[in-house]
Order: sequence, then C-alpha cells, then structure tokens
Amino acid sequence: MSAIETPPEQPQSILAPKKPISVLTLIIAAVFGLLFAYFVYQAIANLIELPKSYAAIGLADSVPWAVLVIGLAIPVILYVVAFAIALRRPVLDTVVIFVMALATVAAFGYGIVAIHRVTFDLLIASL
Amino acid sequence: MVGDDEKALSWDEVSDPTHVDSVVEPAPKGVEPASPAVEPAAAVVEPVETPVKPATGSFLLVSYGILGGVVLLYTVGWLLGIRDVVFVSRDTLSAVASTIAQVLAIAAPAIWFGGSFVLTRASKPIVRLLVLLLGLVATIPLPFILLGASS
Repeated sequence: MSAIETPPEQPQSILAPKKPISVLTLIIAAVFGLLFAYFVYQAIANLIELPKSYAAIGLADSVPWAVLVIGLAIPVILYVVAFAIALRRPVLDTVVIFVMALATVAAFGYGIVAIHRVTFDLLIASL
Repeated sequence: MVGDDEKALSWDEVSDPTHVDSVVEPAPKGVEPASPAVEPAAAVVEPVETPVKPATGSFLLVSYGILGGVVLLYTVGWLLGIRDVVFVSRDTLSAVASTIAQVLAIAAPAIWFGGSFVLTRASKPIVRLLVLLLGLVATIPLPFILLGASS
C-alpha cells in the first residue's frame, strides 16, 4: 500500500460518492419506507378527520391547515432526505440514517399533536 | 556550621534542621531559594509546545459532555411530556405502532447523539458538533415545552 493511496472512508462525504447503489440498500430503504408510511397514513387520517371534528363544533373556518399539511410533509420530506443521504453509503450508515430519520418523524409527530393542542386551546379561549 | 548543600557530607546531626533534637530552627519552606534561576524559565517555556493538541481535545470532550447532558434533559422531557399527546388506540396493530412511535420519540435524542458519532467517524470534529446540534433541533421535546409535564 502506497502512502498516497487515499483511505476508502475519506471521500464518503454527502456529495462525492461514485459507488453503485447496492440491492441491500434498496431493501433497507423499502423496509423503512413501510415504517414511514405508517406516519404518512396517520397524517392523512388527521388531514381528513380533524376538519370534520372542527366542523362538528361549528369551527369549520378555523381548521389549522398549515399544521396539518406540515404534519403530512415531515415524514415524506425526511424519508426523501434520508434516502438521498443514505443511498451510496455503507450498510451500517444507511440503517443509522433511516433510524435517525424515523425517530425524528416520531418526535415531530408528537410535536405536531402538541401544537394542535395549543392552537385548539387558544382558539377556544378566543371565543 | 554546615550549609544545606553540604549536609550529605556531614555526620553532624545536631546542625541538621530536620533532626528532631536539632538546635537549629528549620528554615521556613517558602524562603528556600534552593533551585537555580534557570528552572522557572524552563517551566515557562515548556508548556507552550505541548498543550496545543490536548486543548482542542478537552474542548471537544467538554462539548460532547454538555451536548450529552442536553440529550439526557431532552429524554426526561419526552418521558414527562409524551403521555399528554398519546391517544388510546382502537385495534392491536395501531396500538403496537403507537407504542413503537412512543419509544422512538423518547429515544430520539439519544438515537441522534449515537448516530452522529457513527456517521461522522471519518469527519472533522466540527462536522460532528454540527450534526449533534442539528439533532438537538430535530428532537426538541415539543409536548413537554408546549404542554408541560403530564400528571
């Protein structure tokens, strides 16, 4: 091994890699895709159900659409970002990136619920 | 009388200030100018070269320690706050999924902390610190901050 030879870890930055995408990476991405889909499903359910319950108490004009849409966007965006970063990295890194993204989605999911709670309380207080 | 420098050459213990029965009063510790003037100068010059690397190392260690402490506080925040935002699930599948989501949310700060070290193992420390800070933004315990601890 010559001294000039660059170690394999060195060019593994987010941008530079040239390695082909492995099948294993795609399988991991698919498995995590199912887990992310659960959060997308929940966000869609909220998007449909919450306006109904707002309308039921006569607050159809006050539906917090921005919070609902952000709640749907977060799991989708984080999956795409995680996929883009993890694509050509070692398997360990791929799994770690998807777990970090999934944990973030879960955390933001509960954060969104907390924001809903606060905006609803403010809405009730303003009546 | 024998001087301090010549003590080893003398058998006269009475003149030794350290001897119990000595008639000579021991000199006060601070007064002794025994060491030559060269030594303090060397002591000043010496540390200039060595601590350059350990200084960054200890700065990083302290930073990791502080960030790790924040991660612990976040985890406590999640544990205290998450019960307020959990719904009772109707069927078994969503109950299991909800439990997994809760565990993930509570563990999220620690997952980011550990994951940051794994992903940046070949990167510069500044990159690692930035990823760690990003983790603190991404896993902030909003339920606890917005709603407080559930009773």
